[in-house]
Amino acid sequence: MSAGGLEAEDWSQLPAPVISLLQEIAVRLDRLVSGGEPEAIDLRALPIMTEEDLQQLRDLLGTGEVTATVQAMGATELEETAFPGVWWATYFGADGDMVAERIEMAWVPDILVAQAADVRTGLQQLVERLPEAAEADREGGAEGAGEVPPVRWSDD
Amino acid sequence: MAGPSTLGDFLLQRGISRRGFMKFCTAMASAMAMPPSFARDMAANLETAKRQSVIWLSFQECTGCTESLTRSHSPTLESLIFDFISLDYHHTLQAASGHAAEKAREEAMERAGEGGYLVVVDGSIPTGAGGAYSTIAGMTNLQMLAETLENAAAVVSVGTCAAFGGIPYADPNPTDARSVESLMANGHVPSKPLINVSGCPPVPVVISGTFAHYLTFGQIPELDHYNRPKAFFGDTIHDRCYRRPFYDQGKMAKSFDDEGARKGWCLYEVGCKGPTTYNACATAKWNNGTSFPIESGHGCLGCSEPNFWDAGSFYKPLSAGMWGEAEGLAAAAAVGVAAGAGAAWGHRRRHAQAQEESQS
Amino acid sequence: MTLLEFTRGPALEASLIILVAGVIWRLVGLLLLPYKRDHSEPRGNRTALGGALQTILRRFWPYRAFQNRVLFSHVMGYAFHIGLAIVVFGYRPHILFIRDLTGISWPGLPYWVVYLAGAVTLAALVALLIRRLSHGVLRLLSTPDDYLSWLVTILPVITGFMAVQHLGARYETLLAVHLLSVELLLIWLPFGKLMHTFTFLFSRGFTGARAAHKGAKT
Repeated sequence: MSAGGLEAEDWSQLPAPVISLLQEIAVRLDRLVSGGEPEAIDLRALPIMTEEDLQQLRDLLGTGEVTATVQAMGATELEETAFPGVWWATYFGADGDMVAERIEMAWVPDILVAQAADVRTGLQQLVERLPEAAEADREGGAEGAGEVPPVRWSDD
Repeated sequence: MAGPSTLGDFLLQRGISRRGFMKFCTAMASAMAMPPSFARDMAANLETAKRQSVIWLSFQECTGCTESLTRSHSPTLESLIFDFISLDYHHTLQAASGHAAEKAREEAMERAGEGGYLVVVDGSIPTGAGGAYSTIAGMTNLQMLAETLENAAAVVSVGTCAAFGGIPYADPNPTDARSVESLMANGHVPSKPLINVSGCPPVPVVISGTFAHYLTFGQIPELDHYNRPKAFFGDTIHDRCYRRPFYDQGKMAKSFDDEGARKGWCLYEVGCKGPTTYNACATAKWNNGTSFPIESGHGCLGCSEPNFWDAGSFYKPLSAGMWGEAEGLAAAAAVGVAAGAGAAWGHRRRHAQAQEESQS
Repeated sequence: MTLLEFTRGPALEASLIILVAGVIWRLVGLLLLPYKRDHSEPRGNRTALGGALQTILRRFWPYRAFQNRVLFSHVMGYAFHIGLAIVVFGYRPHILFIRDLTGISWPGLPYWVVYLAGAVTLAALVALLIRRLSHGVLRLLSTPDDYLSWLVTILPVITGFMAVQHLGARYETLLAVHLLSVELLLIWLPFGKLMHTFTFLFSRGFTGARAAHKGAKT
């Protein structure tokens, strides 16, 4: 696996904030794989990081296999870095202004996971929009109104 | 008013997804400089929280504080805070007017009961001329504040006027304007837990973040010695300023149109009050994250500090003295000459007397 | 009124008034003292003015006979006087203070020069106090004025460092404390040995002029 541009860089040349942040990421990633909770580093809470430092950090971490955009009250852009489980997450408000920027150490970032309450609401709406399927099922002996109709995969 | 019982239900009803809600919590945690894990706790707590009844009292003010919170292009995360509270009285924003409006306030107080509602105050309270400088529905501001605070759970003073007296309080303070805190200290109004959210106006996310903290935990956040939330008022503008490296290197703009100003150097010498001003402007920024005053080339005015209007010229450096004329020094020089001449004359007279005595 | 407003406003004004009134009172009082004319025939060929100037300059360095005994105090004294002058007149915020007061301004020195000068000043002042305390004769000669003057001189340097480095308290508190320490110095200056800031010229000059008349070496 390509580990970002890390090997090419001379670590002794890196700015101190970048090195300490990379160490921080390593520690938290280790906690995650050892069974710990997902964690995050708030990049806006680090005034010592300059724009150049941030860009260098991002270049060092590289790009991994997943990129995702969540559209919920503005966009949230998630990019897995070359190090699996380390995500670069940028949160934008409805007007496109950045409201948070974090590095998240997680199997899947919280905001990407479908939330139970939303799934329940969506399910309800889905069921309400499927009158025919529900009726067809009644013949086959589906149980209980409002329950999830079994999905039929075959054409029979 | 019958409605959804918890915030979670309310959000669902409004079509705001949990992901949108989680983003709100993430942004709030970031703005409050809370550990990122705080966003998860906040989401969990807020979801099951009841909507908080809020009575917003606007006194001697310019409505800038309300504008700050509401005038961003909706729906923003800041304005979402209005969905989290049940704003039962706010005479600028509410549809009702006249007796109906005042009735809404009384009903909200009655419905929420003792300790059931939060009071927000913007504007200072004029106490001169029996409070006649500002009245609402025949009540002076002082009377209304005292009555509303009676059963309040807590009070948030939004803006420098409510927190410290602000511009109405500035010398010569013709209306004898006072802050909520000073009225509490003097016993003119009931004493309740108080949060000061200063600024002229306060940064939108500082207002909403303070509310979010109170709604999440049901108690006031950690405060500084001016009763301001440390999360937002813990650092000076100077500490968080992107021009700070120039200060450390001694690179200073000497006027607003010189080479240094064009290069974006430190504005200390042209009067920036950043080193003594505690606020979140440098990180939270204004106008949906566009900039903050120093980024636009002007020094900080120190608007979130007490007496900022009377703290000398906005364009005088912090290291300079803070009084008007040098008349006192001229008088001192004259006194010095007189005293010195007097002392010398006295000495000469004694000297002459001694000589006369020795000759006689 | 906050502490900083008090120290930048009324306290500063009051201390400057005391300084100006005190210094002028003492100088005028000194200069108007009865002057006993020396009617003797002048010996030697130096004028009174020449003798005065010569002594003012001559006393910037010790006599060779005493040189070894006073070298330490002398070098340390120079170190802290020059260091202090660099800090007071070379640091930009101080120049801004003076500009605001008098309208006179000049370019500042780089910050690292000022910090270095401040450190030298501190070290020299501490060394001089240690010598004063450890040297038996010097300790016996020392008066409360000596210790008080040392204290009001070193305090502004220490508090100034703390304010610049944001050490120990909030900046507005540190700045206020720094100003208070300076105000203490301004108030004490006319009344103790710190008055030598102004009187050293007159005392040396007078001695030099008298000696020139007598044809004596100073």
